Amino acid sequence: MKWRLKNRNHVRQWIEGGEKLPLATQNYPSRGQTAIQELYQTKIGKLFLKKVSQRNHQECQIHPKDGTLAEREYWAFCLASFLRLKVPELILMDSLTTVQIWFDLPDGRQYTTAQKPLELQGNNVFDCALFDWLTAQVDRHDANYLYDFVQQEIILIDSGHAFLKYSGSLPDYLRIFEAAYKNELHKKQASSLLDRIKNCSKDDLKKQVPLRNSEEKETLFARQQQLKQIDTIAGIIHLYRIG
Amino acid sequence: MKPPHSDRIDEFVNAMQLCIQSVISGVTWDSSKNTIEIGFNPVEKKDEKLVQIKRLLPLEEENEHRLKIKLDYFKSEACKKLTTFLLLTRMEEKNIQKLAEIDSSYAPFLSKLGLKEDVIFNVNNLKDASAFVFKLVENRKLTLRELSQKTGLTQVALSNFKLGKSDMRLSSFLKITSALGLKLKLQ
Repeated sequence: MKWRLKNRNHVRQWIEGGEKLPLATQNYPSRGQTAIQELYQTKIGKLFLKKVSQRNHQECQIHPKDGTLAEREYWAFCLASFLRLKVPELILMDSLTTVQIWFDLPDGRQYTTAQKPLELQGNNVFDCALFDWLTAQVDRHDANYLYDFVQQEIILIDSGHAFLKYSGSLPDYLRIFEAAYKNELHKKQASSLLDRIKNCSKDDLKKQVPLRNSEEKETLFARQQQLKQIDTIAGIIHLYRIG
Repeated sequence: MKPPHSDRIDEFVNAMQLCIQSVISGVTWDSSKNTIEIGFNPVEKKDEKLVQIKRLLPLEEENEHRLKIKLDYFKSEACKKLTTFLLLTRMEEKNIQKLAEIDSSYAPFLSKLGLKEDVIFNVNNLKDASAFVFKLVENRKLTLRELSQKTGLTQVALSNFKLGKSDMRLSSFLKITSALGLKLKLQ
């Protein structure tokens, strides 16, 4: 059964009735931007709770009044769901806390460190890159995406550093793709996700991503417009390079 | 006092906990017997993944609440390999099969787990092919929509194939088998 996290009270009850697994996340790759990270074994499976602190926002130069890291992660989840990009189900518990369904997959860092380079598929990379560009994601390092090596697909996680008005560096998976799949960079990608982004109205975007800062709001709309001209992975990489 | 190789023990226990439902309640070192004991709070239902992991370990003793392993095991290459195996597969069957396919050094784990390296399935008619494919789809918890996205085939076409309502072009069938990572063998 695929569980949905729609009701905070249910999630709270599942966590309270579950057991914390401190040993499972002892080596979890955190870069110190999350104050609390807890994994729980619950009746619906493993749930991952993250709570950020005010200090985390100062370190990242994010004004909580514009949207906390937790809120931004939730908005990114809402937008991904709206655009039908596969990401783990997530709920905002309070302005600083999220809970998400734990996916039993290694992240990019674990896989490449323990096994071998990622084998990627252009259409999946294109969709993830579209989303990361649209959401102005600035923290897509190798532990912020999972790697499903059966399907050879990446799944974006930890998308809290999003919807900022400044651009980030190239996502880690795009760097890998650019180096290893040169022949596919200029291949035209048919993407239903791109169609949905193009057809997304301003009201749709505002509904999914209720940004409070007008500059960030305008950045989101501008990024959507930029993607209307894009149909290759090279095109998205170019957007990053021109800033 | 921390036992020797405590980093390796930590890594192993972390990876194990990610796989199983039972909660690991503690890890203790018996210096007189030079063994490591891993304790569990068992879950109500049988923890299948824990049962499987036990098959991969050189156990000194085990019961529902604990297992004992020689300390020396944790400094071995075998332990390092198993830790990586757990971290990558999370003891999900589809991951285990795929990992052994990518890297044959993991193949011994398959036989210990009773999973054959190759599953040969004879297809005699369309119904057989459909049943095999959709059993696999179900095992991998894929939805028709996800399969449709992977193959470029419509959900209607996939549904008709699933229900045996219509025949399917070979090119479409190959898209499905390719999306599922299946190898076809014609003899």
